Amino acid sequence: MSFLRRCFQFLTSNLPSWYASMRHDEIIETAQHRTLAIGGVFLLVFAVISIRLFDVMILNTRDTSTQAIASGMAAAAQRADILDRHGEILATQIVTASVYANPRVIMNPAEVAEKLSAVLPQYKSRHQKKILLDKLSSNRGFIWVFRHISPQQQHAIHQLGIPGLYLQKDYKRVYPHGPLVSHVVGYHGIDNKGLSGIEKKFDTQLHCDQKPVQLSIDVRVQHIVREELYKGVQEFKAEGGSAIVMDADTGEILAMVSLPDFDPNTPNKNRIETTFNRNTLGIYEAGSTFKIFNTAIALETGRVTPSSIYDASTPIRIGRQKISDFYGKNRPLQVREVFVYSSNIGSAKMALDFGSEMQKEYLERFGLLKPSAIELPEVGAPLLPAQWTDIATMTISYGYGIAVSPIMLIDAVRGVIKGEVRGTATLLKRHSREVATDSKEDTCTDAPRRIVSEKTALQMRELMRLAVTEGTAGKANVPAYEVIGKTGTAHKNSGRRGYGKARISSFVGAFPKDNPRYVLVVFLDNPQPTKSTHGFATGGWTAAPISGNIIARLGPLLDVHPIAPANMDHGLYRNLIAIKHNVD
Amino acid sequence: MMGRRSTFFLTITTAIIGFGLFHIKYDVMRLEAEYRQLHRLQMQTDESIRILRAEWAHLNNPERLANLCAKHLPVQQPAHAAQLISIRFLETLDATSPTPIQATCREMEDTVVLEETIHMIAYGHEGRHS
Repeated sequence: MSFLRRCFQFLTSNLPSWYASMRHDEIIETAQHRTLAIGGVFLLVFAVISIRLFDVMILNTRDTSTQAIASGMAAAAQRADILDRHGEILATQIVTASVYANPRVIMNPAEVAEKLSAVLPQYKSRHQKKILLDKLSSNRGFIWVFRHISPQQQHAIHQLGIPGLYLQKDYKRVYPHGPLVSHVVGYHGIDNKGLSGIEKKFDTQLHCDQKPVQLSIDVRVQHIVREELYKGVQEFKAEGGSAIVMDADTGEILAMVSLPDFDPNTPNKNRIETTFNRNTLGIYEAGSTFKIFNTAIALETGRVTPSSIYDASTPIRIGRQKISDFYGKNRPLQVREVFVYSSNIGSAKMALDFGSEMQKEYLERFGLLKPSAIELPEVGAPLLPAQWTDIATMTISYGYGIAVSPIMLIDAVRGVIKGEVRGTATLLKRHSREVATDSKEDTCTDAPRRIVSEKTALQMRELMRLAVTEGTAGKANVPAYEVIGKTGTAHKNSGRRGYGKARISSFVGAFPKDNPRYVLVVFLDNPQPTKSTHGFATGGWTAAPISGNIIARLGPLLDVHPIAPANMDHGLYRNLIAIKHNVD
Repeated sequence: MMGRRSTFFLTITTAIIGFGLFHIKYDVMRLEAEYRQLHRLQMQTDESIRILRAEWAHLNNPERLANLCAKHLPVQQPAHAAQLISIRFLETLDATSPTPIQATCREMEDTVVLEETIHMIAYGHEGRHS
């Protein structure tokens, strides 16, 4: 009350003097100036606010900061998919949960370890439980309990409600097809980095650009090739094997299998030797398959014709070494016979005719003197002779003295049988045939390269057909498809010990003869002879039948029209085959 | 008089702008929260779709499909080249060529007759012995 009285007294005593001072001109003018100044300041402030309003509402309606807030760290952890040529997922990233703990907060580590072992089977054994208990009893502020648990386990751990135990969103890379495309796709490590294959080669695109990588691989073809190659490796007890199927027109690789292989979903459990890609990293002396190139060079340079004759009756002696034929004919042979009967003597003499320089020039044109440009980090360089002497020229003519990888071999053979090619071997899908079919537009941007003339390519296809019908590659023949090819058998060089008994058996071929659509190569590492091969383990007895089985299954799948047999006297029904049925 | 009008005008303008500003600010905050929620939902849906696509790819594994075919389908083997024929080849056949069924039956009849003959020779007229 006294306070109010004092306020009232203050006002009544001063109001008259204030009223009097307001009538004073100077004071009024000063007050007006001050009012104007303060008003100006406020006007300026609100002008700025109005401009900002206009800017936000009318001019810049899209604000990216909100998107950044929303997406947060999620984008940084994502990795794009790897797809096959038809869009089948070969590698993808899914969201999982990982369990971590703060041991400093956990009250009873033994009880927590017991409860966790009931939920996580990885900690069921006594040994694992002890490891977990030690971690939970430590003085650390953070420990991983387990990464990438299933949704059921996630729910169970959440239900436990243990303080100090937390769940964190995590990402796991999965490979739905397991070991099927392991060497091509590769795998990646715990820190989201690709460690091999396409995962490593396209790490930046997959991780940073978030763009999926579409491969030329067809999982159906890959499965057929893998299945047949696996059967062959088992049958002939080989140390390993490799196979590639390539589109002859575009160079796209439809299948690339290397055995033994591994499961990229469990990279830590794989033996190191299973991660070795024999197709791109393995360098081998290819043996008689090199006669394809030798004969092509001789025909292309005009030194020989298919009916030219070379004397293969006696071995060629070079110092203590000699070049001889495996089950030779011991007589003069025509060039076509040299090829069909795989005569080393005839091939060596043919190579001497066109010389080292020509051989080197053409092998370079075939792409055999430099590493393949395939889109994988694991690529081996060819082993070339230190000096390209006449002896080297002779041995190279039948596939010794030079070592190449299967991918280099198939790419070179493709060039020889087609004559003109576009691009080199690739694991990326070049263009869509479905799109090209409608518009007839060829979207392959690589310029065509002439490897050999059309005439030479035609002659080589005829010779390779003869090698299948009359030569060593008979077991690769599939009557409906006019398969062309050449077998090869080369003893493995063990370094200082020289050539041992172990061998590399191979077959390289294509189908159909007149316009090859697909090229195929099969390598077997040290196959063993069996009863059915009558004690032989050469390419014709091992790699060729595997190739024949693959071609027989691929033809219908890839819409390769069968060729009508020449003799149709027996009629249509001769094409019927027995069909195995499920019997209930 | 002029001073009072401008003061009044400024006061009203200040009040309107202030009100408008705070209204818009809270509106934007509400919309941002809604956007974050929708984005979270979209991310969860995307993640679920990825998991489903991965599962679909796993179910489409050719080896798995081959095993299922062997188990459930009546025919046990994939198509063979010998089972395919070009339409153009069919045109080369004439009217006297036997149909596949006729030819197969004829061949089967021949096979049966041959088998019976062999059994007669091997076992005499007592018939077949299993």
